[in-house]
Amino acid sequence: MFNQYQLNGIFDEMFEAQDVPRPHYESVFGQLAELSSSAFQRRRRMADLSFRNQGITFTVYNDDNGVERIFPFDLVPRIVPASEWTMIERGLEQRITALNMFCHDVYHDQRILREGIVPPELIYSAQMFRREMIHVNVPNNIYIHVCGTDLIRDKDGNYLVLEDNGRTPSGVSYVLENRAIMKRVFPALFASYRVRSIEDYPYNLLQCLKELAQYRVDDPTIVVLTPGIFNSAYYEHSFLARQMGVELVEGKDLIVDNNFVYMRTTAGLRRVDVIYRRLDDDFLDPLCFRGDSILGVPGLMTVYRCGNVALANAVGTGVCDDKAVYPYVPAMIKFYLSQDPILKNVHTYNCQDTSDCNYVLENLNKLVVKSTNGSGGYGMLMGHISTKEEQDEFAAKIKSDPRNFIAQPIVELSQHPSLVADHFEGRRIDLRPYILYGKKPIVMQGGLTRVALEEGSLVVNSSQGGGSKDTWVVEDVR
Amino acid sequence: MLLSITHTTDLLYSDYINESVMELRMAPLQEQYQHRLSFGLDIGPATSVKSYFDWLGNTIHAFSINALHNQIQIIATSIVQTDQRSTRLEHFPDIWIRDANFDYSFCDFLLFGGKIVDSPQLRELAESAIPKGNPRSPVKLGAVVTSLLRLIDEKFVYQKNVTDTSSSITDILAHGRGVCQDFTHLMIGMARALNIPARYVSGYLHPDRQRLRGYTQTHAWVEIYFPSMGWVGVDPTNNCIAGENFVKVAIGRNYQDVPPNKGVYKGKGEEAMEVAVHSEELLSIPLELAAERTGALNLPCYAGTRLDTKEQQAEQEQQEQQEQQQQQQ
Repeated sequence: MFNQYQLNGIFDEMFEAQDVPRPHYESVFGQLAELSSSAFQRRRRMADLSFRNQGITFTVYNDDNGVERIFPFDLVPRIVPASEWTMIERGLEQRITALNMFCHDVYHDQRILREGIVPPELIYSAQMFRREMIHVNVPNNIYIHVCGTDLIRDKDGNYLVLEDNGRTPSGVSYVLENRAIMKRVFPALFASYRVRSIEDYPYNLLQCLKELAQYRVDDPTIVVLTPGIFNSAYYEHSFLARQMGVELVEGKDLIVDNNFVYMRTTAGLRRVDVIYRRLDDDFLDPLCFRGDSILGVPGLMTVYRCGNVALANAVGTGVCDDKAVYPYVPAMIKFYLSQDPILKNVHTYNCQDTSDCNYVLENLNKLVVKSTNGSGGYGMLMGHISTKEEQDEFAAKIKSDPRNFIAQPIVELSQHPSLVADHFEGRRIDLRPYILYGKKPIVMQGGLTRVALEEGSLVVNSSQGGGSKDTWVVEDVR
Repeated sequence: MLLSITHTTDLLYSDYINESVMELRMAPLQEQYQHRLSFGLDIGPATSVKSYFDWLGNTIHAFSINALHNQIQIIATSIVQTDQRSTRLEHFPDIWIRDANFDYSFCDFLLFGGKIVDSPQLRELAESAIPKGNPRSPVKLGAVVTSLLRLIDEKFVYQKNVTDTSSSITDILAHGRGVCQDFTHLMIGMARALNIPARYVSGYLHPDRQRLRGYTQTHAWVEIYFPSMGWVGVDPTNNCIAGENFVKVAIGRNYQDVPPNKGVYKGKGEEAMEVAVHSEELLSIPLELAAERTGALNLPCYAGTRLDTKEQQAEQEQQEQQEQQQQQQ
């Protein structure tokens, strides 16, 4: 099955050289190589059936072929040795700590702006800078309670941060489901490693949410607020609510009365203390944000401001998700923590800067151009595979609104063996670990490895036809 | 000047509505030239009111009425002491510098946004207001501001019902007519085009002997930042300096930051609003004066639920589906 495997001249997770697996992959390589193609196919069918039966789906927008899909699952596990993971973990803890300090700072003293570390114009022109949050205090001064940071590996295998998703990152339910299914389909393979557990995530999330209300009540009522059944991540919202044993609600199930938030139940109104909201800021409160939103809870912001309800994540975290703010994260780490960043950024050209902008316009065919507030792989240009028309279209967009665009050099993501028909081929992957921040950061011991299932493709987003694989953090072999 | 102001807002709905949530910006500001001695708020149907400061320092009163109702009445009464201000702009020492660097805290008052839309036409108009003179001698900021006021007075006509609260300054530039809100947005736009920090003020204008326009209503005007004096109010609608008969209620980047009342409700009833403002000069401070109080007006509301028609429900569901798919990440 590995006979035709090509290394393609990029970093390969499994192989050091042709047919030479890295030490932590030796056991997987050995067992998979012995497996016949038909045995592997049988396991694959088992896994697919299991996903379908449990209704583990996501929704693709702008697609006429039935909107609900199962998230393609790739059976070959990705393995990260503990020594490598320790570095990632420390890097992520450092990053989320700095990002939270940044959020608190921009909504309070604005030291980082006054000292010119981050250009104030950049923040004041950011769509996601919520002036409503200025001078508002949030529990423990923590804004980003759940973060899903996207990591990639370059040609030399260095981990780089591609973006920080500090608003409402999704995907964690697939991590947990992938693991459950891997254990069922490959029990022996799984047992041959000492894989770190990830099953404590829902418990840790619940603790983290409880801590948000600890100064007010002993036994807080917690809810998960979903946009509703048509949202792409609805499966995940219901999954997490079930795992934590809390109610799943929509905006219309909540009501503000006398400066508290209540949930409508069959036994009358019940006060809500903490909302794990999976609804964007824009839709959260029509009185404060988008007036035409019917998904939100009118008056919620007033209650939030008074501290009578806690939200996770806090309102306004989008300011550090802005892709034009991302290049300043290493400077934030230096500024707030006096440390050197453990995880490096991908070099980014800020189109608001005139010289950067000119470079971008001249080199559109070598760069990835992204909208500063986009996500999910929508609205971006992959320069090297784009047509002249697409490039011209983006050039016009950039010129008319430079603040809204950034560009990055095309990073050759690392590859990992994936099952294609009856053999293995290299496919590009990234890694999204999840970090919780209650009293202190807790990094999940694993994450979502996303796979670009098309040959040569560099886009791993599930909305763009990506799949996922289980990620094993294993104790070192030697 | 000691002023007593009563601001009555009547909201009438064509059908019963419920879950009304509102934010009011009706309490006059406490600041250098203006002292709020008393503020009262009466709201019906009866409810509880929560107040807080927004990020600009304006006082907001928020409330919700969850039961069914078809009218809301809000009566805001204030007693305010205002002082005469420095009004001789041309004597201010400040020089207008086209590429001056301001502290970043002025960002919000220099960037365009909301209904204050940048355009070549706006910039051309603003440039035409720069006083001509010896190109080497510095231009005074006060002279630029006076010239902007005069330009608006000469070229634009006050006329109601041409624009509404959603009009941007491209509208007034196109037909040359509008009300105080349009004049204010226009003046702010021109000032920002010339790199002069400017902000929106909403408040009340007490009529004086000169018969200032817009006196029976709430009013809007502009504040320009003079480094030597701080924020100075000027009124483009009346081509004058904001004096002691101007009562400031809220400041903002543009109208969207300062509406006197803003609300959402559930139900298909259409809202109609009537506003009446009455002001009078007092000779002495009333002895019995509550600094701040809220009360209830006796208007009816009912228990029960609102019934939507099938069509309304279907429409609602369709909108929900669309919004659910607009979420990110």
